[in-house]
Amino acid sequence: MSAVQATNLWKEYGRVVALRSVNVDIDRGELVAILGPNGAGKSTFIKIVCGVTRPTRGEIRVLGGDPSDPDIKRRVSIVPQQGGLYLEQTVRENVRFYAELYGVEPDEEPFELLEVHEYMDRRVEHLSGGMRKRAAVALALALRPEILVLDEPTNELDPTARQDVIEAVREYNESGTTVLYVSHDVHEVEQLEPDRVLIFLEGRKALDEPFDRLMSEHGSVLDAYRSVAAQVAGE
Amino acid sequence: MSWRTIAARDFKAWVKDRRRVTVTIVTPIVMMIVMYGAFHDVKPTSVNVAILRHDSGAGDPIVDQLRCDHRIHLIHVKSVREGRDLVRRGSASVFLYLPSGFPDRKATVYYDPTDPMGSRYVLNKIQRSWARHVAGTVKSSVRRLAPVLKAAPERPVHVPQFNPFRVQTPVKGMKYFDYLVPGLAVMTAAMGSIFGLGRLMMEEIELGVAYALFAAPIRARDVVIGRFVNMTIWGCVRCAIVVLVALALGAKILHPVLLFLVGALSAATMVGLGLLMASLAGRSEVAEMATGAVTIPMMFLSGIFMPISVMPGWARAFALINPMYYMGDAARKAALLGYLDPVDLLILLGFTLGFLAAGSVLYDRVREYL
Repeated sequence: MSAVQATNLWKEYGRVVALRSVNVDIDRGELVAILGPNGAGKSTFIKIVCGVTRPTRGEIRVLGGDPSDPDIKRRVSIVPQQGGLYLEQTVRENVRFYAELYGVEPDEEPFELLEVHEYMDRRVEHLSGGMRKRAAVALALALRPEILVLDEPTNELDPTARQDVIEAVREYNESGTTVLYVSHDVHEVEQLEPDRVLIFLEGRKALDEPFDRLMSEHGSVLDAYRSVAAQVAGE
Repeated sequence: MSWRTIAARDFKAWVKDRRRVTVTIVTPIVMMIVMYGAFHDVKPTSVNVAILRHDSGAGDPIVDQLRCDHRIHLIHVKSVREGRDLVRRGSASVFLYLPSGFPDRKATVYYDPTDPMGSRYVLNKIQRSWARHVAGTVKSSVRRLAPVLKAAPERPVHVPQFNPFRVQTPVKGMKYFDYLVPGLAVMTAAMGSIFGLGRLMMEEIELGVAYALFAAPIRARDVVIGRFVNMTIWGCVRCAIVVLVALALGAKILHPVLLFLVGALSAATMVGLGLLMASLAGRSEVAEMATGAVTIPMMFLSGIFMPISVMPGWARAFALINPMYYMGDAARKAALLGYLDPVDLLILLGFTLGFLAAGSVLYDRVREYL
């Protein structure tokens, strides 16, 4: 069964078309990198996948159901770009709050893995940007999701912390979690070594290829990206 | 019951934040002490009165009363022009001219309209002292004529009572401060909530928390209800502090519990309005500006600070659709008459539910702009 199945997906905000006829099929257990410049439609796509918003037209199925259904939402967790943590609370209090909303007993392992356990009882407002991002990723993993969606999770992270986050994501993916990893950094995608790469441009899915084939055909993600961007510009 | 999780989180976060708790508790106390200091005895502390006398002593009762009052400072002037100039320059609040032939010729009272409190105080003093003098004269005349009237076979005229009225009030000796307390109680309960909620919701959007909540397995209305419950609780806390401090300062509140109930409902109403404004505005600075732009006219046209009976027709019509009017009216009736007006309460409840429903629908639209 597919983890995410989008058929002829459109999303319009008034006159602005954010997504144009997007078709995507992501299998369970896949690690998919979603790449594209700002305004390409990748964040809109994951908003629909997480049930935050609904498509204007087309159909979306997540884990075989409607993504806005609370039972489906319970199986999907997200790391928003800004982290999504309450500043005036400690990391532990944030974890308890979200765990209660999701109705799960939080998994302690991600906090060890990302070395968040050292500052679990510190207020988020007293943490650096990098520490907050690690905490947000650990929190999303602690909710035991079947699908993990990360929206540019390594912004503000130093190279070591970025590597730690990528390793943690890969580890959970290897144990069966489907991962949608949104980024606009081609080098980060190479570091991630996903199963597939989706490139969004101007609201369209411009490329959908396995990572290995993409690397063998283009040599690098950057070259693949340039080639696709040139094709779209030519159209 | 996800709304309970939201409300509990907000409540704990509030309690843990010492600055927020301090502001919540200290602000109403300081405000009440300042208001008490300013309004518990709203007589002017010092009023200058210019006076010119050309009478032959008939105005003595008035002048004696003015002279005896420690708040009034008399300035004797030499001409009408000088007296008027003192008032125009603001050096005196009232100029009193007693012409020759007073009281057959009328005295002139020229007052400064920019000092209504001072001039009204002096005018009352002048009128009362003259009324007392006239009453004394009439009484002594009646006493002198009494033997003649008794000796007469029939009473020639029916003498009406000098004062045929008995003035009564549920709360005797009410001061302006007592009049203000119900309004202060409901406004304090309501205002912190209306501005606080907009800021909180906008912060959540900026931190990505709103995104995470929309992605969480809860309904948007649970977020709204949880938030509404927490903010209303804090509105009630502020209202209770105001009522307790007012009682400690000696304010006359006939039924403090009823006033508290009205305060709680007022807090709920204005939290609903705050929610509506925040959801409508979409950005924190716009939310604050829009909330201020809506609430300030609502407040001044509510009758809380000035009775709506003195306002023009359009302002009275506006009061009928202004929830703050019903808040003030219900609070005053509860505090000063010990009466819970069911019409006010039902209308406030209607406003609360309406704001909450509209706010929930609009909050749900926020997801499109994240």
